[in-house]
Amino acid sequence: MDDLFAPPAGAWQRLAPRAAPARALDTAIGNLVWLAAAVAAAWIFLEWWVPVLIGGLGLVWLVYITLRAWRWTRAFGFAEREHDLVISTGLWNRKLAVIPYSRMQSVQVHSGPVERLWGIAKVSLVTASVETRATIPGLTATDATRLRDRLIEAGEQQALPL
Amino acid sequence: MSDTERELPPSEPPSEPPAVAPTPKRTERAHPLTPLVRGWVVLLAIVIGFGREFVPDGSEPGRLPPLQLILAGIGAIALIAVIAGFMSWRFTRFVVDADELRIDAGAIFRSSKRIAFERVQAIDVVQPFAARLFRLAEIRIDIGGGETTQLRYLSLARAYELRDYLLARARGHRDAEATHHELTAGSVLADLTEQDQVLVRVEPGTLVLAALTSHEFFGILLSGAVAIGITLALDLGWAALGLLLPVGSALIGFVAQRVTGQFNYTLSRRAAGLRIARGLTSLTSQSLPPRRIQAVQISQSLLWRRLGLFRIDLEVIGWGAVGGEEDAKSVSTIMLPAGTADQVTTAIAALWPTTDYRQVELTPAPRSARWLHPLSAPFLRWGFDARLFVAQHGWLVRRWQLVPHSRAQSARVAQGPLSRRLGLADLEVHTAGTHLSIHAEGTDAATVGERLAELHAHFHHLPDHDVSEPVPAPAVEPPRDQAAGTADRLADQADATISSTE
Repeated sequence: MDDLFAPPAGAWQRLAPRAAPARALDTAIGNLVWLAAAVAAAWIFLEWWVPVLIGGLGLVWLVYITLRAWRWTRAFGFAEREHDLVISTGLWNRKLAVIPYSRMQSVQVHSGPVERLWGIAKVSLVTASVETRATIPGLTATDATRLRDRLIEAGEQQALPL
Repeated sequence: MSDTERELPPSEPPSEPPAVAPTPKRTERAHPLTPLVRGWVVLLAIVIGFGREFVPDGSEPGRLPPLQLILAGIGAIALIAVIAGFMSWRFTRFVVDADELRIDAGAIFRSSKRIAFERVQAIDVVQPFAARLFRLAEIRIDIGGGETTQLRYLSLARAYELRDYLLARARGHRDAEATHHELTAGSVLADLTEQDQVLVRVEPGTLVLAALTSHEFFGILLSGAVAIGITLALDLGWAALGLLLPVGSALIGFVAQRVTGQFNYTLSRRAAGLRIARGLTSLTSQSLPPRRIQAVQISQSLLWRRLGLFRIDLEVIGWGAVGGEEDAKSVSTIMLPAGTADQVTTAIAALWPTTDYRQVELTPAPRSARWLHPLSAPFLRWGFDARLFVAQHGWLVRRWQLVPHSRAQSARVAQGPLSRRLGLADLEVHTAGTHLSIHAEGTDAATVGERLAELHAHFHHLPDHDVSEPVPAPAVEPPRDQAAGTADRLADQADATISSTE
C-alpha cells in the first residue's frame, strides 16, 4: 500500500540531515529522565535485581529509540502543493496529513535549545482545529523562515472570505 | 406580574420598542423582581440551615440560642442580601437601540460593555424554575470565544422581543424594528408564534421510551446488577438490599433528567433562524448559530434500532462537550433528543439545506476490516459528495458523522503496521470543534488513495454559498433536489403534527 503514502507530485521534500542528531539527542534526554526516575524508584522500594533489570532493558530501548531518529528523519516528507501542504510521517504508524492553505491561521517557527545546537528549527502550521498536527520538525533556520514566508503568502492568497 | 412592574419605578416601561434614537439614550433596567428571583436560593439556604436547628434530632436542646437572636440573624443576612441584590439591580442598566447594545453595571466598580451586533452568534432565552414562576427570563448572548453575556431577569415578553431584535441585527438587518411581543400560550410554553414553522416536535412519551431504552440506562442497570451480584456472591444479603436504593434512584434520576431537560422539545424555523425550545421546570429557548456548527453526529443505541429512534448531537464552537449532561446552566449540544429517521432528515435539512446525507454514496469496509473491527466491520462505511463528508462506525451505539467540506480544517490518513498488512487505513477529518472525533475506520487503503485527491479538492474549492444558507442566490428556480427537499420537509412536518395530535 505504498501508493497511499507516495509523494503527491514529484518527490517529497526532506528534512535537513542535521535534524537527525538533534532529534536523537532530544529523545535520548527525554527517555533518560524517565528511565532514571524509574530506576531510582525501583532502587528505593524493590529488590536489588529489579532496578538492574529495568536499567538494562531501558538502556537497550534507549539505544534503539535514539538510533531510530535517523530512520524517522529520513522517512519524514512534506510537499507544498498548489492548494495544500502535505506531510507524511512515521515508520510503523504512518500518517499522511493534508492541510489546505485556506484554513491556515498562523505559522510558527520554533527552535529549542537542543535544536539550536544544530542550527535547526521547526515550522508549524496552525488551523482552527486542535487536532491538526502540521509540524515540520527539522529544517535549517534559513529554510524554516523561507518555508514560513511561503506558507503565509499562500495562506493569505487563498484565505477564505469570512 | 405586569402590575407590579408598572407600580415600581423602573426607568421606562420595558415593553415599548426603542424609539427612533432620542438624544438622551433610553436605558433600561432589568425587571424589579430580579433581586428576589436571584436571591431565592440564598433565602432557601438560610431557611434550611436554621430550620434544621428546630428539628428534634436527639441532640441536647440546651445549646439552641433564643429565638429572637435567630430571627435577628436571619433578618440581618436577608437584609444584606436584599440590599446587595437591589444595588446590583439598581446600577445595572442596558441600552438596546439602533446604534448599540451596551450594558453598564456596578455601583463601586463601574463597567460598561458594548457588543457589536455582528458579533452576536446565538442568543438563548433561559427560564430557571424560580424565574418561571414570575414569568421572567434571562438572555444569554453568545459572542464567540466561549464568552457569554447575561442579562437577567427581564419579563418574558421583553426577553423574546430583545432576542428577536438582536438576532435580526446579527444577521445584518440594520432597519430591524423591535416588535411588540404578545405572550400566548404557545410562546410561554414553547416560544412559538404564528409565523414559526414547527419542524420537529418530540412527545414526552417518546422521551421516556428513549431514555428507558438508551445505552446509558442499561449501563447504569448493568453496573448496579454487577454490584448487587458481588454482594450476593459474598453472602452480604442486607448490603444487596441497601444497594437497590442508590441504583434505583440513579435510574429514576437519569430518566427524569432526560425527560425534564428535553420536555416539550420543539425545533422551529423563524425568519431569524432555527430555534430549539425545551424543558419542563426550567425552559430554554436557544438559537442555532449556523456557521459555528462544525459537525453533526447521529447516533442510535442497540434497542433504538428496533424502535427506529435516533439522536442528533451538534459540534458547535464554544459549546462544550457533545453529549455532556446538560443542566440549566449550560447550553445543550443535543439537537434532537430522540426522533424518527424522518425527523432526523428534517432537522439536518433545516440545518444544511443544500446537503442530503442519504444521497452520499458510501463505501463499505473491505472484508479484511473484520480482523481489526470484528464487531462493527459490517457497519463501517465512509464517503463524500460535493458538500458533505460522511463516516459511520460503532457497534453497540451506531454513529453517523457528517461534516461539510467547508467546515473541515484538515484531513489525515493513518496506517499502523497491522492495517498495512490488511490493506486498511483510517481517515480523520479535523474540524474546529474538539469533541467529536470525525473519522472513518477500517477503510480500504486503495480506495482512500484513489479518492483522497478528490476530497482535498472539495476542501479548497468551496461553493459560493455556505451549506447553512438555504437557496443559492443566482438560481431563479430552485434545483430539483432542493425542491424535493422542501417537499419532504413539508411532508415531514405534516407527519409530525399528525402524530402530535394523536
